[in-house]
Amino acid sequence: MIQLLSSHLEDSSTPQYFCFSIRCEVCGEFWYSSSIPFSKAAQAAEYREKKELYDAIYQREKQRARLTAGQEARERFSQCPICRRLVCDACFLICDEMDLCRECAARMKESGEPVAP
Amino acid sequence: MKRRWSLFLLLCLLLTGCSTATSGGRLISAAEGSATYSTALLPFLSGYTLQDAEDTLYVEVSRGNAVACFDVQAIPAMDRGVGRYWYPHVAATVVLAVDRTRTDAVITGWNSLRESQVPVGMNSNSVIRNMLAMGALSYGLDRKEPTKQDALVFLEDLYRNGGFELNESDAPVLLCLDYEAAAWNQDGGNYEIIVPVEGTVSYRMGILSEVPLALESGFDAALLSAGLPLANGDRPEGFPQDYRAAHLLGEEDYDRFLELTRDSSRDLRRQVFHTRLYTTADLREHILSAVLVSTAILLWRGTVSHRVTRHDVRRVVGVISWLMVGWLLLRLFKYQLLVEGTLCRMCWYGYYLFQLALPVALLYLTEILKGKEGEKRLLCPLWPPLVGYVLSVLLVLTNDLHQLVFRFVPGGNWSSDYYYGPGFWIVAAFSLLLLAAALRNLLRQGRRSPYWRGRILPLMFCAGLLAYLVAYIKRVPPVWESDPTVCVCLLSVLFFETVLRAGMIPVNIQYQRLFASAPISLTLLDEKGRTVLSSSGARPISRSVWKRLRMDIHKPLLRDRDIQLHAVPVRSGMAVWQEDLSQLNSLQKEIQAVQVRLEAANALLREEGEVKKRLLTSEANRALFEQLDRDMERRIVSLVRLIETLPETGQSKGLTAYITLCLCHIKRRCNLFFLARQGEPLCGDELSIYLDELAELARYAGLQILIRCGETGPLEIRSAALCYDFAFETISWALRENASPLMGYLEPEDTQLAFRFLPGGDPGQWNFSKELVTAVSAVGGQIVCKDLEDAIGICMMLPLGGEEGG
Repeated sequence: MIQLLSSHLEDSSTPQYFCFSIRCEVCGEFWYSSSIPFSKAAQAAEYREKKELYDAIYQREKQRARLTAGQEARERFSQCPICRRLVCDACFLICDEMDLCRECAARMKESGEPVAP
Repeated sequence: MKRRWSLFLLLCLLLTGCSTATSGGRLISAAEGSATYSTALLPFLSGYTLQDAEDTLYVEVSRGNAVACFDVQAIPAMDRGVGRYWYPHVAATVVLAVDRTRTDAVITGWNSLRESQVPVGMNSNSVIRNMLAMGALSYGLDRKEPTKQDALVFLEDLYRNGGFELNESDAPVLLCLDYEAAAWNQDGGNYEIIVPVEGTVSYRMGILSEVPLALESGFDAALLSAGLPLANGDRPEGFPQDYRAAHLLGEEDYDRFLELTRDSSRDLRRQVFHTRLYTTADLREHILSAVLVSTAILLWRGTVSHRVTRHDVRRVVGVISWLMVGWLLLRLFKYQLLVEGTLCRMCWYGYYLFQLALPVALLYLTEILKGKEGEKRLLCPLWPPLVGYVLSVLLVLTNDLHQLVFRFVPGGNWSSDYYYGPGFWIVAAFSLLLLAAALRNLLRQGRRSPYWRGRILPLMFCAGLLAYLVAYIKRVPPVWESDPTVCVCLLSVLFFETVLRAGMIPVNIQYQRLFASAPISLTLLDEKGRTVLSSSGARPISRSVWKRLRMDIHKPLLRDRDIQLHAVPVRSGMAVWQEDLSQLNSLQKEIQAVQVRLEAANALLREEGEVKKRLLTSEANRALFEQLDRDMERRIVSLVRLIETLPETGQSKGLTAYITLCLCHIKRRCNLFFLARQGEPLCGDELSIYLDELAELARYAGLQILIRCGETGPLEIRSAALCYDFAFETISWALRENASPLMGYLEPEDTQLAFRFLPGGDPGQWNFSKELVTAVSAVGGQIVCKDLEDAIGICMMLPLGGEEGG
């Protein structure tokens, strides 16, 4: 699941903060991870060496933020067992026999409540 | 926010008061009429000092003081956990004291009062005395089922017929306690003390305390000598003998008594005297009224702050509302004070701190409305009234020093026995002047309003204010008896609402309708991300989107593929609008589809073009070679014939050389043919090389020949080809006729190109091919033979620069 989420994470980061998004494949809405500020965002790199150092720190922090975003997304996204798509909690229904995405549930005439209305 | 909290804390301090530490050791004469009892008791309570009540009975007992009170106060207090020790000593019976010096009417009880038509009064109007009297009267009128309503009807009847007054000790008949009447008699009065035959109630007076009291012996005798009847029934001289009609309250009676006599003061005022019908009548109503009105004012202030967009107006509203609330709360605080001392009087003066500020605030409001927000400095239009206000307040607050505002006897009953001094009229006139100025501004601005409501509402407010003043002067009951503080607050609120409704202040009360009908998808979020207002087409903003927007509000983000969210910070939140990208996306998709189709069409066309090109090339090649074949056919046929005759001839060398010459001619003509198709000119030097080549081969064939070329420059292919053909045919003729030597000279002459040959033999048999002659004529040239006296020359003249005459 983590790998699936990681593969779907889109980078919405800026030089000031790290943010990642995932698009629900049913409703099409983007979910955005909590923005994490870059620790050196407020500091200007005056020398080329320092800039390279900051770039390295940026990449390291971005990797960390990506992992965090994946963990965060795990709480809000599920994979439909039928269509194998990644769907948000609003589109993922808790049904009687099997939890399904909204579209699969409609196709199979299953009723259920969304995980997060 | 901190300022609000500090104000709130200040309010709490004002309301709760600064409670003194538990003191104890004081005897408090709490109930009215207990002063004599307390004085008599004090010598027997060692370590106690006598003091007037500063607070309620409950508070005084809680502080550890011994409090003199009636049993109807003490027993319920003990039931509620206040006071643990109750020492009843004195019996106090509600009786009728008839002043026999003023009336000789036969009075035996309550009912006889109705018949006698003699004015009746009560020597007090305190709450507890009202309760005692109402309880006794209710019991007397109906012993089995006493009701307060019966007592109230009875007293109202008395009030209407013979007269009944509270706090009236000068009436011929007084409703009082028996020991009070006995004391008056001892002081020289001539009161007949009558225990009403219908029935009355005997109460007990005693000491309520949190701690056990040790009373020294001889206490009962002291009470009797002080003229107080004892709780055990012993009475001194001067009291009636028959107390059988008096009912002594038992343990089971107190709750019923409290139920019966609740709100006695209020009911006496409203149902008996028909006063206080339009204002508060007792302490409870005072408190409730103050709380309700304050709450309403603060709510109103909240709604105005919500509606009004101008910050300076909001500040004025805040000031006005806090002035009104402060006034009400100060009044409420004053109501709590039991002792009418300096603090109570300062509270009274303090009313003017708020009251006088209201016209200043209203005037300031109308002044700032003349311009836009921020046009005028805060205090600029306000300082003259502000100075007047400060002076007025100082004048009032220092009244104890000069008595210019309120005049009363120092140490006397100042709360009711005072009159106004000149200072008061000055302050009142100044205040009215400010109000008049505010009204003038209001009317002026209303007159300039383009809306009918803006013109009508100020007039209506002024008319209403005038009607109120007239009604007050005429003492119309609802106005005259109403609470002046509440009325002033209400008028101030109405003044502001008039300004607001008249359209003098920009308001934003139509946000709901605006958002409901807004075509743009707009959402207002508060500081916690909750939706405050949202237009009908806007979809809710999710938490994650809100958090991302809060992090970087200026960077738009995609909600989904078709909706982009933009946000701007607003006060206490953000405004988010949703831009619909679906049309752009569909347009982009269409463009992409068209691009794909165009690329496919282009590829098809390109392929078609290449095919056509290949076809055209092959076609052109075919036509070219056909033309070449046509051009070369005659020469090739001639050449083939020559080659066929080659084995039979004896002069094979010469014929071979001639064949070679023909092949060279064919080759160069082919070159010239293709050069002509390319449309390129031929250099004169290259033509010279061609001609030299022919001359060289002709020499092999046995012809002595020399061809010279002058500076000719680039020649058109057609002219060059004609020159080349002319040279070939001349050489062929010379070989055939053996006209060696042959001299040739090519040179430009003016606008013509002249190619001359001077043969060594007779040119009588001169013969050129018809194709050459036709071609030369076609370009405007000519081939001529010229007699040069000892020789005959052949000359071809061609026009330079193409065909002559086009």
